[in-house]
Amino acid sequence: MLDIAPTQVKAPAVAASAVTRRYGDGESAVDALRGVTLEVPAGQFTAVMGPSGSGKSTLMHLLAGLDTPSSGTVGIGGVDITAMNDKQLTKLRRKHIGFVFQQFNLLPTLTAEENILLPLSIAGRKTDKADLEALIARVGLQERRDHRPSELSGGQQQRVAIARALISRPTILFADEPTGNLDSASGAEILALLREAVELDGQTTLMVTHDPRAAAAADRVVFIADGRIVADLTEPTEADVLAAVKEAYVR
Amino acid sequence: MRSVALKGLAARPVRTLLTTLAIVLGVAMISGALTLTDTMRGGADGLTKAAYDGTDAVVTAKTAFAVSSSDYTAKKPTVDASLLERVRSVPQVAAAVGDISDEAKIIARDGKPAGDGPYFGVGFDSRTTAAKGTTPFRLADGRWATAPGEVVIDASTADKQNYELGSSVKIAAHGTTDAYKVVGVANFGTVKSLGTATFAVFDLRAAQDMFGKAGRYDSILVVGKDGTPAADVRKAIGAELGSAAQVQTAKAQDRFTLDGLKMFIGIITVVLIVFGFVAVLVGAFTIFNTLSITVAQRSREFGLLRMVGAARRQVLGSVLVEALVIGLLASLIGLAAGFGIAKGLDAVFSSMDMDLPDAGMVFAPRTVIVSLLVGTVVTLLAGIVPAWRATRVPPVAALRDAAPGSAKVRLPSRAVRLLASLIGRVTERVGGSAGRLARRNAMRNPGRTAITASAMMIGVALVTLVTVVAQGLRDSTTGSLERRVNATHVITGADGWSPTDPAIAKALAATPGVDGVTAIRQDLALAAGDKEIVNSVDPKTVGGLFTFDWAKGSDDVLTGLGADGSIVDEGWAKEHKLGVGDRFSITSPSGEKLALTVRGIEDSPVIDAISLGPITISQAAYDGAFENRSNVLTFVKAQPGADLSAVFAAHPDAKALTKAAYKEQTTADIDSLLAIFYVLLALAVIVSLFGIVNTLVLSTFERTRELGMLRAVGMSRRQVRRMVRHESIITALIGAGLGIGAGLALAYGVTAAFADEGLSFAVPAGSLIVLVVVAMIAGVLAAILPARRASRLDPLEALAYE
Repeated sequence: MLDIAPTQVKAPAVAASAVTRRYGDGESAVDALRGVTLEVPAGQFTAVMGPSGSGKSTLMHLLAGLDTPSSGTVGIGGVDITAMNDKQLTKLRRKHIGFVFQQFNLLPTLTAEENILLPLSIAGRKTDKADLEALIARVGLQERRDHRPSELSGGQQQRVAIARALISRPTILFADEPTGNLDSASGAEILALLREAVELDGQTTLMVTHDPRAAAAADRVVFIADGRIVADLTEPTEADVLAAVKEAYVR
Repeated sequence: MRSVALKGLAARPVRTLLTTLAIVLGVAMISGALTLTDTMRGGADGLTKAAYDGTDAVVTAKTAFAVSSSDYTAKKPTVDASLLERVRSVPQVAAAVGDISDEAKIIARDGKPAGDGPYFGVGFDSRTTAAKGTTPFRLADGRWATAPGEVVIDASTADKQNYELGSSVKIAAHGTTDAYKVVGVANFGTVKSLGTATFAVFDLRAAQDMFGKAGRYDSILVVGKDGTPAADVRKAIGAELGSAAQVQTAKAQDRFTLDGLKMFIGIITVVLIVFGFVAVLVGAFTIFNTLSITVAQRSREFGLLRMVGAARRQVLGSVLVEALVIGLLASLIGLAAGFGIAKGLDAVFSSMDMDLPDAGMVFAPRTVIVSLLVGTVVTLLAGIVPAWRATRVPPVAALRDAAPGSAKVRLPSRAVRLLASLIGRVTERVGGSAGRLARRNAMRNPGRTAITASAMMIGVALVTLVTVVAQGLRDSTTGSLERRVNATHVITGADGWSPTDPAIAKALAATPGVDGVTAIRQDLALAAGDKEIVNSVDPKTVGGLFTFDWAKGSDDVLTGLGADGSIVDEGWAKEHKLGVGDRFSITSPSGEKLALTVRGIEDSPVIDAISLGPITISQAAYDGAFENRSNVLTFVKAQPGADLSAVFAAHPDAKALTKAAYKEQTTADIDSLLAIFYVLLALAVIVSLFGIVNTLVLSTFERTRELGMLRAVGMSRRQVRRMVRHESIITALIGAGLGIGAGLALAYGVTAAFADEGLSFAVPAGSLIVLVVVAMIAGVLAAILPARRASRLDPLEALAYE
């Protein structure tokens, strides 16, 4: 599988170095992350797994610059983002980060196509017609491009969301439980689309999930429990994942 | 159940406060109006007491019909001085003095009359010691005038003009302006003067001569014997004098025209309260909208309540309790704020020299009751529909995602969506991606946008209506003056409104370069059972200087008006079924009866700037029956370059305006009235701003997740702010657009109804553009807080939000 991955790996697409995250202070302080170091090389599809409250979502938020670590550093494309202000982070998001959410989070007032183009429109960037057509074709929404989210199925909405995340060719795509709100058939379609982006475009992707089947679609699965990385599997099968889950969740 | 509603309010203090603000302003206006005018009325009562309480009876000449102090054109007849002795002979009378109450203008240091009127010129008998109780004047300095050439002036004028004892002051009275020596300075009761009025108090005998009333008095003021009820004193005098004179209370006679002050206070009360109600109405829209949105947002909560056994009635109750609490809270804050408003306005009036004796703020129980009732009831009414909607939430809503259902889009909402779409195209062009999202947001809940905009619409519609009608009035006034006045100059009192003495017209006629002078006089007459203003024109001189808009007749009627000829106003003629050739009669205050024949019918404008009465007769006939000899208006035709200044140097109490300046001055009154209306309507617009703020805050709250997503996909804080701002502007512009439309339609109706009277309909494009710009600025202002809240939203919080 990895033979398609880019060989000219320089800096990792995203890297966390000894990050901790503590919420609150005093007696009621909660340590969500207790020192995580993780590098996601460019072109890799990484899944982060862990039980609820393990810190996997916190990790993703830190990596995406949505949250600031209590200590440690996060870098995207070799640039430290931990000290960035809101303006710099906004620019970073426009250029380097794509998001796919569990709840799809499409704007109900926009059509499918407009939702896809939203990041470009916000950033004031020109649309490459051919790119857009190719993307719409890839997610299979040619017939539904003028429909509003309320007229689309969950799977279709998530496909719009993926196209929206890919349109700006981000350095890294974050997917937060992308199959969490979908039936298994739709979920499989979404995973196939993510996989395809990795293989065809070398799209670096980091996905948070607790679905072993989803995780098995990744090149690498990182397990988190109690704010620490407890396992790191490369090209696992579903069975490998399940075994690791058992171990991680039982701890 | 009730505690659920209350806790909800307490949990969201900012929102609760914003919601209440909508009603607070209106209630504050109402309570302020009541407090202010109660206070003013208290002051006026104090003045009345000071002015009249020491007098038990007033003897005046009998008039053919009751003439009150507010009948400003009426000149009341005088009584013969010999009556005084007869009054004094009545056993119940302790003391009686003659009184002269006329007009005298104190000339200020700038050469113009001081104050803005009334200009009281009083003859006071200081030799009769018992007379002191009958006068409101209290010497602050110096002594009373006892000889011709001496005067006591009011303390306010003395202060402002720096006149002191021994100063020589010019006073214009009865057509002449002479110098007088100030021998005393007096207060009126406890105040320095009555608002903008001035007082010149002369020696009684001197005043009789000055005002051409030798051997006569305007009235005889009586103090009864101790222990004799005032009514008995009056009865006894009445019995002694029989039909020779009339006896009344000083308050009824009202020689200082204090009733006018009370009328003015009454008008202020009504105007302020009306605008208060407009503000409350606008506030009701905001309350309705806010509760509607919060009910929609809480459908899950209501479902849960229903699921755990709450009855529909209880759900209804909980929303109504919420409305009740908001209303009560708002009314209480408004009540308190109104007190502040009253204090502020009182200070404003004081700075405008309209201060009244300090009676302390009058905070009547009625004010409290009315304010609380209006605020609470209106809020409760606005809450009924949202509360009913809350009862329609099924228990299963608790299990559903809290997506506010997209209800049917009704026709008005559809229209609003179309407007939002159209206006949004512009913001899309300007605001890029943020502008486009703003447009979609404004369109997505057209009902909500519609109600938010409606609040704005009311204020804007009223502003438009008032502007258009005012423009029509201005045009009709200018037009009618243009047609009717053919003189080069119009002479009025120096203040622009008070009548002038005939001596001025005579002096002008004798001035080289003046080709013609004619004057209009006015008095009051009883005609067909009603008091009507009678005008006189001089047929010999009026030709070519002044005319009417004729319904029937021509200028020949005017110049050929004989001793029994009259011209009547069309409306009055219609009311009394009079046509040309018909006969009718009028009676003057002194009882002279005039038999008249209708020779012509004139058509005066809706609001006649010249304030002519409905009946016009020749000056010869007028002078034979009526006593008021001052000229309301004097028209002059002068050759270019004619120098009139010598006349006004001798008569500083009058001024000449060119025809153009006169037209301008008359319309300036409309403009100042308009300015007052604008200020009051601005309040309604401000209230509607709170509505926009509220809706935006609630919408932002509703769209937290969306905002988070937008931030996550790269929207900057600025763009978020711009998005909210543009939505606000779109809403404000929809309100302005609908308001202008509705206002124009209303104005069209009003002007059409008065089209006969020459009121025309014209679209004041300039003013409307200003209105649109103001609405846009309002939109920007309304967006400040919601936009900031939206942009400060942590994207992470937005994603975690559930």
